[in-house]
Amino acid sequence: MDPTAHSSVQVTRTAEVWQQLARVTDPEMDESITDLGFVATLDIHANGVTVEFRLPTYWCAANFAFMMAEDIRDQVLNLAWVDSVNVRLVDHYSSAAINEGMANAASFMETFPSEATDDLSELRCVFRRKAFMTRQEKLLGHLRRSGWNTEDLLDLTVQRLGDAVNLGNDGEQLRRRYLDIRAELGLPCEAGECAITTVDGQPVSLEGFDSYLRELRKCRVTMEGNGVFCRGLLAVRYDLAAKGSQPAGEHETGSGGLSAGRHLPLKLVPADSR
Amino acid sequence: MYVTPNGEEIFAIDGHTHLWDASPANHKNRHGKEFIDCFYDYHRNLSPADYVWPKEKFERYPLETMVQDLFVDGYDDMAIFQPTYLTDFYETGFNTTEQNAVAKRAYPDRFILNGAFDPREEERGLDYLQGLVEEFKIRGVKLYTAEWRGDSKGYKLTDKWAGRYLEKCHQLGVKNIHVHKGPTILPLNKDAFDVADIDDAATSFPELKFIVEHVGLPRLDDFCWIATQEPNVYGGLAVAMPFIHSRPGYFAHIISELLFWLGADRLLFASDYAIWHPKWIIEKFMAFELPQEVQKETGVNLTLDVKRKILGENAAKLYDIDIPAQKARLKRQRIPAMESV
Repeated sequence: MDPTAHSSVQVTRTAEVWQQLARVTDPEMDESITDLGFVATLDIHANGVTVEFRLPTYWCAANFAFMMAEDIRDQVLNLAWVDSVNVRLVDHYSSAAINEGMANAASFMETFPSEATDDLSELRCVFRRKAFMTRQEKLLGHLRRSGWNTEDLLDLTVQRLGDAVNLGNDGEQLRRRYLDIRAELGLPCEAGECAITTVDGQPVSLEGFDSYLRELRKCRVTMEGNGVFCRGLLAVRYDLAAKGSQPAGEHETGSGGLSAGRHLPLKLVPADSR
Repeated sequence: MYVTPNGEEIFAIDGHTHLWDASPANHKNRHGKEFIDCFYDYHRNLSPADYVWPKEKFERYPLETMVQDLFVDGYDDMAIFQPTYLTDFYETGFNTTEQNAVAKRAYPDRFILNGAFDPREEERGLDYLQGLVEEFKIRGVKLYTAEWRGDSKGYKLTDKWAGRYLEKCHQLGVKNIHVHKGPTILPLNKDAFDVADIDDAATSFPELKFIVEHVGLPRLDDFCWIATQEPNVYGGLAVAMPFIHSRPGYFAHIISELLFWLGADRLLFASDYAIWHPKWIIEKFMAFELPQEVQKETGVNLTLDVKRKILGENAAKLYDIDIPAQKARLKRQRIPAMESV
């Protein structure tokens, strides 16, 4: 086989895996794990993928770590050419348990039999609702700063929100993320539906709008703060600031514009090297 | 004492300080090393570069260093010891009441010594709590609900034995309950940082004051919610305040949320020494002004009155400190190093 062709397959596959990993979020921050720098190494051998991920501290909550491990596995398995995914959490107090659980395709309760009394669906739901509120707050803030008034915002339909122009790059991303999570949570997404509702799909009244916004803001400040703190901790833990002087794009990450990959020691191993 | 450019003296009570021994000789296992490594990352993450200590100094520092940093260089007039035992991680404990009591004996007017309890000690621990009150006259306790103990990964304030301890605190006049949430507690499928149990305890014990350390971070939103419901819930600002250096914009948001939801009377300054040094925190805090757009958005302001409350007056009320009398007392008993400054 022509080695150049092989390496080009490898580059494409790496980019595909990276794109899947970008869909995995840290539940407490609603930010992509690739953007956060949580992916430590990515290794592709033929149709098998190994992802090592790391967290800002040794003590980060094991339940959220398990969620991310599961999501990494599931997202990478969505690629048609992938046969197996080996997910490994490094430098964490629950690394051994979680890695064994992942290797055996065990559930959360099977992984922590004496410590868990249920699966993680309820906890996941709590944090997806917070993510909804945070995304909505950011979108509303952007639209308000662009001159939209409250009446117009509350009258917005999904169609009109989708059609709105001149949102700028940031605004378009905020709109996409907001509409994505509406769909994810099963809220009405048809063209004529009201676009700005509570997380339970209830309308927001004009009189109640300010206090509603304050609730959203509290949630957004919390999630953003967690992101600020955790990024900083990861950077000092792994000395990323020093490595950040590497030229961007040194590794082909294919992360679709996300800025993460440049710190990452990606191991690109051609399939026939073993 | 911090003195404003106009000459006004601002009395500072540092609400969360430690004198720990996390030197390798005291590690019982890997967790001891990982615990102090994590603290050291907190320290490096948010401290100005010229305040970052070498690791060895951070693991164990002498009382003289602490006194110099807090009271000579750091503007603190008084400081509260918040013990964290961690006897499963450290041979002699990380930072116990008994260890901190050495400092209290040497500087009785400077330190407020808090104790600690662990409801998993059941009956035996109740006696220990009573002993702390008798021996050290403690007025507050620090609880770390995520502390590992044997197979247990933590407890909640709604546990049966926790209720017995809070009742005992009430009987003994220990009215300030500082609660620090951490990342582990069972069952593991629940959110370890959930503060709902503090809400329940605050309702059940209205005579007690519950100071939620780190203002509930990483659950600031849930903390604001319970503090809005419960007038006896306070916020300790350790971890939140150091954002003021590297992320002042974010600090503006966090402090204005807290002022909006809790008001100015229930927030306590804290450095979390030795994680952070009070000198730079107080200097930056006193110089800080909320950006106009944040003031407009939240309708709150960080005035000198508010700063004075946060830095000292609120804690003074909780610990029955008469600030003018205490100032006079401290002037009479100066620390030797202060003579040269």
